Amino acid sequence: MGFLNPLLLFGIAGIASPIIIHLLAKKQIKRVVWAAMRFLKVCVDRNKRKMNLEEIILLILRCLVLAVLALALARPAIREGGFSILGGDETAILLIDNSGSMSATDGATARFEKAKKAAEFVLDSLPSGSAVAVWLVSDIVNDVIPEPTRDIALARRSIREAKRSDQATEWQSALRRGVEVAKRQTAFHKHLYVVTDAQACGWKGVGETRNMLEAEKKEIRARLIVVTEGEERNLAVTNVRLASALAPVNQPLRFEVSVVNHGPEPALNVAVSLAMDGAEAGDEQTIEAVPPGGVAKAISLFATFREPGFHTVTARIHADRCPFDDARTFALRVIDEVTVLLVDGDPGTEARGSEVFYLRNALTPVAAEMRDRYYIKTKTVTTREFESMPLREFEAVVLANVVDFSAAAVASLESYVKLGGGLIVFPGSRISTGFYNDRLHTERPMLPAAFGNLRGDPLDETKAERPQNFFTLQGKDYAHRIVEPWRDPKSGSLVSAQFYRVYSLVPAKRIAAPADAGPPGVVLTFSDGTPAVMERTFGFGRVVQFASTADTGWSDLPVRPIFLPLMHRTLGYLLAREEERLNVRTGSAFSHPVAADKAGQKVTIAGPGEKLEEIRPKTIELKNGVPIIEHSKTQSGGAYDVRFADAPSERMKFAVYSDPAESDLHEMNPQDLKRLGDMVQVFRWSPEIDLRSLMERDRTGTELWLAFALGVLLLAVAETLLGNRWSRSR
Amino acid sequence: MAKKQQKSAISPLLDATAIQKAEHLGLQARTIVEGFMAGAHRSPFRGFAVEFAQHREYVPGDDTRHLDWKVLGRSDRYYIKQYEQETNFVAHILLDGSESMKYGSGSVTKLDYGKVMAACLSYLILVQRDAAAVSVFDSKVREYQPRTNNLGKIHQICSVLSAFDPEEATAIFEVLEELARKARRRGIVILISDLLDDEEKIIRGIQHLRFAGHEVIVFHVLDPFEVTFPFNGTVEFVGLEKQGRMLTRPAEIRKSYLDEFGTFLDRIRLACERNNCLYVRITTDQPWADVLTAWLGTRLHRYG
Repeated sequence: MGFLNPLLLFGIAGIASPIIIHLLAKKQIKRVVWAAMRFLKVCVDRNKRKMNLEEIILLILRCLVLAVLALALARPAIREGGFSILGGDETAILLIDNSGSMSATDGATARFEKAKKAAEFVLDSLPSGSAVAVWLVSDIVNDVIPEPTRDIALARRSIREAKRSDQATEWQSALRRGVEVAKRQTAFHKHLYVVTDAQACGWKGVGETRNMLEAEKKEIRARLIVVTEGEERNLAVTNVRLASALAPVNQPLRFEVSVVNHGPEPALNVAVSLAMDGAEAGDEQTIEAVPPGGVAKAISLFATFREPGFHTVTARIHADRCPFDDARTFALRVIDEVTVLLVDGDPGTEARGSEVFYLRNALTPVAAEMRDRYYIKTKTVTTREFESMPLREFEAVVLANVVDFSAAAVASLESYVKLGGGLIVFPGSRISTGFYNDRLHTERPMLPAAFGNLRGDPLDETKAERPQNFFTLQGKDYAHRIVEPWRDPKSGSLVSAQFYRVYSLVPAKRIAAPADAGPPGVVLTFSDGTPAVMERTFGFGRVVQFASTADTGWSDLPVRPIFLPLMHRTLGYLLAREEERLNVRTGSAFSHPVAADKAGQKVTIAGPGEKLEEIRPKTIELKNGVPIIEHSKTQSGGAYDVRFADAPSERMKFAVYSDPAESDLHEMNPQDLKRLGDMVQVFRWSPEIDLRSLMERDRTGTELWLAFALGVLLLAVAETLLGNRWSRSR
Repeated sequence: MAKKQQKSAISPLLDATAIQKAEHLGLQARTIVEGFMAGAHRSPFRGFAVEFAQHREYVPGDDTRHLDWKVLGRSDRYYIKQYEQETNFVAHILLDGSESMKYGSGSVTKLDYGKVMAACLSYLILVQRDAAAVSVFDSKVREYQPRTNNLGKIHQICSVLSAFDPEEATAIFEVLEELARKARRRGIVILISDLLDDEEKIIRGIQHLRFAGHEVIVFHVLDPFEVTFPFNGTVEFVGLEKQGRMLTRPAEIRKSYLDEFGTFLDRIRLACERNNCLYVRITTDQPWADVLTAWLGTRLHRYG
């Protein structure tokens, strides 16, 4: 029970007036000298007690009329949670879900449109003088109005102009921030209004959220407005990736498209098409059935690019009720040729004795006369030559059994990898582990692992037979992208390769790793579980480190058929580092290094649906001495076009993809909702529900003024009737 | 100064229009009194009056003083001259001068009204050459103007009346009883009072008078407010005749009061009627002239 206009309760003091009037009336008595007292006495004696009683009853009635009127004007209301001062202005933080799942429609209206409408109703329901902040929440918070403002018109405009993103949802941090901002406010009532579709994946950690809200329960109240129609069927393209090892021009490239069915029934005959550079669909395939339950069903589609450079492919399924994930774009750079620098640390005396002999042949598996036309070009240099070479023109550098090199070369190599170059390191009998471990691993965290002990017997070149003890590679569980084709036994077996002598790879400690070095990852292990191939990102580049040699000195891997695809995939993986930069998740910043001469130039970046000419160009700025294009407005999924003002013909493309988890439209499970409901008032809204009065009733409880007003009326009627009746002469 | 005051106090008693009307009526009434009324008062004792009535033969034993000597001389017959008994009557005007008579809702109190009535009636009676005795009483007779048939005494009557100022409560019974005892000559007793006394005693007093052979006329003087009780709001009634105070909301008990008062009036009226005395209820807002007219009217009706 509380009052919306508690100040008017002072009106209860008005009951003094009938009492005062009563007392004054007693004072203002007419005095009449009267002769016929005898009769008067009889009458008065007969009626005195009754009259006094009536007088008191009337007085009480009049006092009651005024008191109840004052109560009615004070707008009493009953609300659960006992007595509190109701009414008054409030500070509200309106958090509107603008994640990708809000694009789901009920056939007519999208959830986001409903959310906007609901948010407007919330605005309408706020008592006058309230302040409101408007935040659009996905996995990030877009604080359109960061701090509560009393300008409700501005809030309304920002709600109307709010745009949905394709981002994922993450409520906990947004709510925490909301609570922090609300706590700073001075208003008496502080509310968080969360307008969302209550998608399960966005509401992880309900317990923590609940505890956080419970801690602030006294100060801040939260209301959850759920705008969903229970639609859970959704077919989503959750992944598009280049399945081919490399992306050369004029070669059919295989793209793997994953389709996930989040609905309860299998989706039959799902047509998936692949469009290049936003053009009409090219290749199209049909998946017979996508099983329900969120398991990805992959399909391969092919595209051939005729021009080298940046391209996008868009995989698309037929539109369903949740459109944001019906298409997914993948950006890639199609290469004309890949040049790989092979640094031979042990050239030997004959061609076959070269440390990089097998490697070169594996990378360019064509006849010698065809090599010029093959898209992978190799250049073999000695360590000495390597030290003085500009590395920038090569896509990858392979160090094969290189003893060591000069500090200048180390610095050059570091900057090369940092700017996006690929590095493959093969050990050998000649390498200086101290040099590698100190210079390339400890001082500069380029190598994913340090070279440890040598294991196994050295191969005696003079003997024809092979040693009896050898290591083999892992036979299953190929998790890494480089080795994923071998998941399929038809692709051959990696186990057949025999390693006689290997360096044990000691992975780098993660804690020690500085920001520009990624965590070391294992590509392949030996059957005993020790790493055989490891990789790590460094700056914009990547390093792959092998435990054994590139030639047949320590193993027979180079002569195995698997060596060729393995090396191609490794090279592809190094180059895919660029793909990773070209494909960013919604909400993540796109950041791509460009040639040094681009520094200071203007660049225009247009997202999906944006027109280039409407966008203000930005300047390419230097970051750590490297000119970098940065773009953080990546809320929408799709292809982004980058144009350089000084070189209109030069183009760059990147793609923004949304979180596949966002496609799962399943609502928060009822238990979680119930648990949250202890702390948060949950409203389910659909357009036919009058949210405004619902909110008002919730804010104020059930208003009782009408009942009180009726009470006043009844009391007044009773007073009039009784007064009339009793004042009638008798 | 005092004389002037007195004069001015008297003069309103004799309301010009009322007296004029009364005089006019009186002229008319004289005939009635001398004719019809006389009949009503016809004395069984003939022979001593002024007006000749008839002759009758002398029978021994008659007073020779009444022999018509002229007839004896002319016709040698003995005739006794007979005269009409004088139609004069004695009217005892009793004016209640108790404190309760002091009440007046307007400018005129019941006592004022009563005084004027008494004066008018006295004048009327004297004009008719009847005798009038005026007394003002409360618990006992306060002022007394002895019986007179001299019109010249009217001034005396008026000054007695106007000089009276009430002080005490009423005791009508005692006064009536005393009158019944003292007034040996039968006459008309005119009681002007609000009768706010014990009804039983009033009625007993009237009965006494009736037994003594008096004709009783009761002028029940009431204030219009006493009859209508038109008060509103909260009123403190201060009782005259030391009856204390009373705070009440009169509007609410009006009906009850009027019932009570009406019952009282009815009882008085019935008692009067039962005792064969004339009961006239008058309120002080009635013109005096009307009252006198009504009275004479009733007398005409009664004796005509």
